[in-house]
Amino acid sequence: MKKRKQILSVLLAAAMVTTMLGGCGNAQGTSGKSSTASSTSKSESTQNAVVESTVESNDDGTEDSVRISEETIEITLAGPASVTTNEWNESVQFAEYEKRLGIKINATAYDSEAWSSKLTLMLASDELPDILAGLTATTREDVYKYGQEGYLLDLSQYLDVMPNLTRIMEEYPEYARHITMENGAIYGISPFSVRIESWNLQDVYMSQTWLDNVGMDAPETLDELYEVLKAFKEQDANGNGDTDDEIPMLYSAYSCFPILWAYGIYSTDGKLHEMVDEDGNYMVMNVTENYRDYLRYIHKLYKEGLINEDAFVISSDEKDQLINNGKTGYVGNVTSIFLGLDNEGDYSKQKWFAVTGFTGTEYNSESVVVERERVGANFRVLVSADTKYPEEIAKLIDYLFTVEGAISASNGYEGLTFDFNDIEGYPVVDHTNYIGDYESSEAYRTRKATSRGAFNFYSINEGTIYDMLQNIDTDKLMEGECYKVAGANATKQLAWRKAVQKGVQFKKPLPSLSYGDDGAERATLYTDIVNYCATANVQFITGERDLDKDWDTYLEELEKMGLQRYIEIQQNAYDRLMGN
Amino acid sequence: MKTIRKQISGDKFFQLMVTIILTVFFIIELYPMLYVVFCSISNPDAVASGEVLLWPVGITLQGYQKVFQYRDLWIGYGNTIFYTLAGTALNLAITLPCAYAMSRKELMGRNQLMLFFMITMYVSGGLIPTYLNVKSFGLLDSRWCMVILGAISVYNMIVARTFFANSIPDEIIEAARIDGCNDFRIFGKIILPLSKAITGVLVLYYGTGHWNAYFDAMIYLDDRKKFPLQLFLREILIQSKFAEEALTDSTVSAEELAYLAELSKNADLMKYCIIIVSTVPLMFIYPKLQKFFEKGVMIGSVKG
Repeated sequence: MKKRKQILSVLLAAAMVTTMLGGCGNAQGTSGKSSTASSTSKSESTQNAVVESTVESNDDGTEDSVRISEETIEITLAGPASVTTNEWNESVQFAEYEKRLGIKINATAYDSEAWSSKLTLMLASDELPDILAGLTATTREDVYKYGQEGYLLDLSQYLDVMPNLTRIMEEYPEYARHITMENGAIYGISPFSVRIESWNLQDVYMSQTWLDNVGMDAPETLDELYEVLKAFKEQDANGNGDTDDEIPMLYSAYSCFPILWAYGIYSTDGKLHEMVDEDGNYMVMNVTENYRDYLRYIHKLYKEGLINEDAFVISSDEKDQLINNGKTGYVGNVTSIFLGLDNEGDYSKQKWFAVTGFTGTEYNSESVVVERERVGANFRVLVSADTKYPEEIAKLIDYLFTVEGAISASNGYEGLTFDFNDIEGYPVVDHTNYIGDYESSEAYRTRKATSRGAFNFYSINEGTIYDMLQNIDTDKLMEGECYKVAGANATKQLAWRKAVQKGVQFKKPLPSLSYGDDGAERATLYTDIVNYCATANVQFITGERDLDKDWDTYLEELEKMGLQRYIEIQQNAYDRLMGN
Repeated sequence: MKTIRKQISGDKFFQLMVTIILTVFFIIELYPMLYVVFCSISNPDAVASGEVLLWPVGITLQGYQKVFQYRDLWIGYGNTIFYTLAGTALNLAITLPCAYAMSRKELMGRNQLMLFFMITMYVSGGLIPTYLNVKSFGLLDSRWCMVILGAISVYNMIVARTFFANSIPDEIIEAARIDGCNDFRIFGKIILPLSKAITGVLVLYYGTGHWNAYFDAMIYLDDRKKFPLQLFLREILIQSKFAEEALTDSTVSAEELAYLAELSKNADLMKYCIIIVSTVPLMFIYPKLQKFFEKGVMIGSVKG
């Protein structure tokens, strides 16, 4: 009897623990489900709000801050907290909006990890604020779903009061395609960059100092790259007297891109290599011979110790450490690139230069660069369908697409938060005179001058180093003030100019797609496939699986996971997007 | 050789083994704590590159300096202390009487009531209904929400009930009743004084729960002045991830990335200091309450 009781109580205790633990993980799953349930009941109530636009015609093309509302209106705003979101309400930017535009913004920030639950709760309890801003993880699909359920304002009805957005959409059809949903509505605004071309280069860098130390030229073909990396490994490339502490190539999705492109795989995703050929055929390159040969090459590098051994487990902090301590000569996108690349904060010490695609395979005779996407995949700003001030908000959004508006969102206002500083003859925004107690001008900019992340979705050249980079002479690019200020970006500009001279082909990555009813099916397929591909990628590179023996089973596995169906869905989505 | 083995008699050998095993356990338990202490006073670069193992490298107190300058943290400290004290008091005020009532055999429908309680342990309303409930009670963005929400934990109630049922003899209650006590008096004058052990245990359970809680605050509180400590800690800890996220964000400039990286470095610097600052109060209270565990926790007949 006693024994039974004991067992029972142990079981009970165990059950309690599991339910307690389960409780933590479940919160998101349940909230997701209930949101769909509760939103159906709401859909009929809101999809209206077709306010007749009675705009006094001041559309003479002026881009200045015209007062949007005569009487100051107050609108609410919510978003996920980024570093400084807690200070949104105190920013000069928002204070000036109240003064200049007549719009007082009352912002609330939520913990970024709680944001998705919070959003679900706001939707479920009909408490959506006027504007959702500073979003970073809202996909086109989410937006389409919320929009169709009637939560979001369709901005396309207000395009006649949004001359600047209209102009941009006409000028850049890819942006128009992205923000216009399949039903013709515009439910939100995505980030968009009209910056110089070199901005689109992927961040992959090699150290000229290392090349000089081993006495070699910058590699152009894959064979040359191999020789260079080998020399890095065998010689004292970083010049500290130790020939064994060099990591020739720091593995990352980015540092592999130029190699990947050489094999005709024009992808900018580290796991699933998706692309569309000239005829608009969608392809998954992970099942091609191109990819197999690519893996052979990377496997060779790995086997010979030319890639860091901890390639697949290393943390980004550790990577930064390696770069700062001068332990590696070929790197991809890492924060320390922008920190100054070594402990002295001196860009010129390692002399990093930007790398474009390699050549020298049967798949590709030309150097290729797959550009960074100008259109941000996520949606930054959404407007509630229930807002009292749809037109004013539309005008506010349009204002942010002007030069003044864009700068107000990224840097504030001239004379209040910054002055234009002359660098090599080009005006560049400079906060130094205003920072007061803040520890750096960047701290001032993100904490006080602007409400960081809320509205800076339109990236322009004006007032930034990009204006200078675009126009400056090539020989001035890598020296003096320009190099000091622009650093990594200056090397990118140089690489871009060289690439144009060489006739490098520039390609666009796959645009972000959205799905209709097949969205859920696609999501399941994608998760399976991408996880399997990521694992297989590692296994093939480390040699745990053999590229000759195990390749066929790998292909079979992918087929079994429904790769064909996945491709079909993606192709449809792509066709839909292009048909818009 | 033989003589030595003779000298170490069985008993001593046993003692020796126990000492060795306990020492090993002691080190296993102690090392992570020491590691955190070492990391908190080491140069963050050294920590990141894995140089800190057995003692601090590049000793610096910058982290603590930064932590003490971080004003929000102290607001959070104040709030957490309030939530912990008020919350635990309310928890006890509800759990103990409830558990006592449930332990009495003469309570009508006791089993049905218990079933009712048990169901809530396994099936909860879910986030959205709870949120709507909190909202309609007007508790959104209110300090009381942090105190009232989860006022009783059924698990703790069962623990207390078992204690009452097993360690307080019926006779004493009968005697009290004969002397003229009503139920309230019995509870106040007899049961409570006899239940210091279980009260201590509950204080510990509930107290640490409140001290470590952040989820409710994250969901129901908007005003930063009401945030508990843990929320600010999280805020600092996740700062280190923004730089990484921003890498793929097209609107983030190089300078901003550098700033974010700087923040992330700061966060790394403060990380371990924060862990220490936020656990010190618990470390002081824990040993004081721990002695109650020896007699306190019993579920069924298993002593835990």
